[in-house]
Amino acid sequence: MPIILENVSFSYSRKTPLETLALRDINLRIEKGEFVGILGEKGAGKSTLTKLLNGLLKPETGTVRVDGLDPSLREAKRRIGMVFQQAADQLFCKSVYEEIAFGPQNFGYSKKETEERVYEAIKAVSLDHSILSRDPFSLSGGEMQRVAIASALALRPDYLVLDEPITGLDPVGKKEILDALKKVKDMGTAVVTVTHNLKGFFPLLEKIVLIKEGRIVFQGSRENYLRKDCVPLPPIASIMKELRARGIPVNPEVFTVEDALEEILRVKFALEKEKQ
Amino acid sequence: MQEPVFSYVPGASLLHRLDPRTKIVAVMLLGFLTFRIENFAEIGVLFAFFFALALLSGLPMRVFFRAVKPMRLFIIFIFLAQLFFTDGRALVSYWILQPSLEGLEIGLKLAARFILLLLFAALLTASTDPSAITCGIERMLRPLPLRLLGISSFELATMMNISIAFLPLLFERVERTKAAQAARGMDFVKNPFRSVPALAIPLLRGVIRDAEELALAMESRGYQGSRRTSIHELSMQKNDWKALLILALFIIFILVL
Repeated sequence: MPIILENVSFSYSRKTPLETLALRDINLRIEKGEFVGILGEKGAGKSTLTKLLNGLLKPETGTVRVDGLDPSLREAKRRIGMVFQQAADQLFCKSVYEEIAFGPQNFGYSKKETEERVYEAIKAVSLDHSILSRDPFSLSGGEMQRVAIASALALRPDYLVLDEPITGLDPVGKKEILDALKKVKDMGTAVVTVTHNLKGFFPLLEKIVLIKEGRIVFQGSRENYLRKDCVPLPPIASIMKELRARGIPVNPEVFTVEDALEEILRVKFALEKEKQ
Repeated sequence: MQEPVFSYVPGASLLHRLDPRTKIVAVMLLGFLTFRIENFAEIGVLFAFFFALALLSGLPMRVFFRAVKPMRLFIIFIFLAQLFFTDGRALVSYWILQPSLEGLEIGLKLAARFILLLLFAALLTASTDPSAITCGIERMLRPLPLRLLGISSFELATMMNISIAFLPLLFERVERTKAAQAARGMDFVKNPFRSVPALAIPLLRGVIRDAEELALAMESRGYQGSRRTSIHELSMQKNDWKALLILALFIIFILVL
C-alpha cells in the first residue's frame, strides 16, 4: 500500500490576516520502495508537504493516507521515518546508542529487540560499531546526520522522509549520506527527500515531484523531467543540453557524470569516424 | 497558530504616542497601587480605570485579556488556596474541605489584583514598541551608578532588545525539536520524564550556539557595549506630564479615600 494524497490544500495562519496558502490541490502517490525527490524553490511548499506526510500538519482540505491509515496515528508515524534538516536539533542522549534506541524504546520494544534494531540501523547507514559509545555531539556533520537517519530507521519504517539531508555538509559528508540513502533504498525502504542539491541526488532519483508556488507542476520519471524542459536542472544535464544547442548531437538524457562522459566520448568517436 | 501574548499592536492613539518612560512609570505606580488597595470598591475603580485606558488605546479588548489567559490556572490556584486554607467562618463543610467566608474574600481580592497587574502590563506592551520600552528603561537606568557593578545601561538595553527579538526564533526552535522527537514516537503525555530532556537538551545547545554566533557577529561589526545612538528619540511632551499628573491625582484620590 502506498502513501496517497488526494486534493490536499494547506494554509498557514488560517483565518488571520497573515494567512498564506502553502499548498493547493496536491495529488500524489508514493509507492513502497521508490526513491522520490521533491524539488522546488524556497517557499514553494516542499517542507510543508513532508510535514503533511507524517501528520505533523493536518490538511485543510483533502486527505492523506499512509497505507490506508490516518498519518496522525502512532502506527502511521512508525511507518514513516522523518529526518529533519538540522540533525543537531534532535540529538540529546549521552551516547549514539541511546540516541538510536530512543525511537524503539518509545514504541515499547524489548531490550533485545531494541538492540537488534540499533545494530541494523547503523549498518544501514554504514557507521562502525565503535560509534555507538560516542557522544553524539562529538561527531562530524555527516556522521550526525547519519545518526539521525539511523534513529529514524530503527523503527523499521516503510518510508523514510528527509528534508534537505545534505544541505550544509562538506563533500565527504554529502557523499556519505547519499551512499547511505542508496543502501536504505536498496533494502526496500522508500526514500522521499526534499532537496536543492540535484547534482548529488539526480543519479539516485526514480521519481521527481516539482512544486511551484504550492502546486505540483511536474511529477514523473527523470527521463520525462529532462524532456519537459523543467528547471532546476542538475549541472550535468545543463552541460549536455548546452552541447546539443551548440550542434554536438549528444543525447541529453544522462543522469550521472560517468554516463555523460560515455555519451560525449561516443559522439566524439562517431564524429571522427564520419570525417574519415 | 497561537496569538502572541504581550505583543505590540501598532496604533496612533494618545496612549501610543506617550513617551515610553511615562508609561513605564505609570505601570509601576499602578502595580504598586494594586497591592495597596483594600476593598472591592477600590478594585472596581481600578478596573474602571483600566477600561477607560483600554478604550483610549483604541485596541480590541481581547488584546489585553489574552495576556491573562496563560495565567488562568495560576490565578485559579491562588484563589482556591486562599478559599480553602484561610481560617474563618465556614461557608459549607464537606469532608476535610471547609471554604471560609474570609478565604473567599481574600481569594477574590488576590485574583483581582493579579488580573489587574497583567492587564496594566498588557496595556503598556500593546501600546509601545518593544524597542521603545527598552530604550525607555535604558534612559531611566542611566542615572544609576550601574558602572560600579561593571554593567552599563546600554548593555542592559541591548540585552533586553536581543531577548525580545529572539523570542519568536526560540519558539520556532521548540517546534522543530518537538516535531523531530514526535516523529521518533515521543509521547509527551505518556512519558514526560523522558520527553523533557529530549526537548530541553537540543534546545539549550542550539540557543547557546546561536548566542555565541550572535556575539561574534556583533563584535566583528564593532559592538563594544558603549553608548550607542537609538532609533527612538525620547522626549517628554506636555501630554506626558499631564498624564503623570492625572495619574498622581488618581492615586492620591484612591489612597486617601
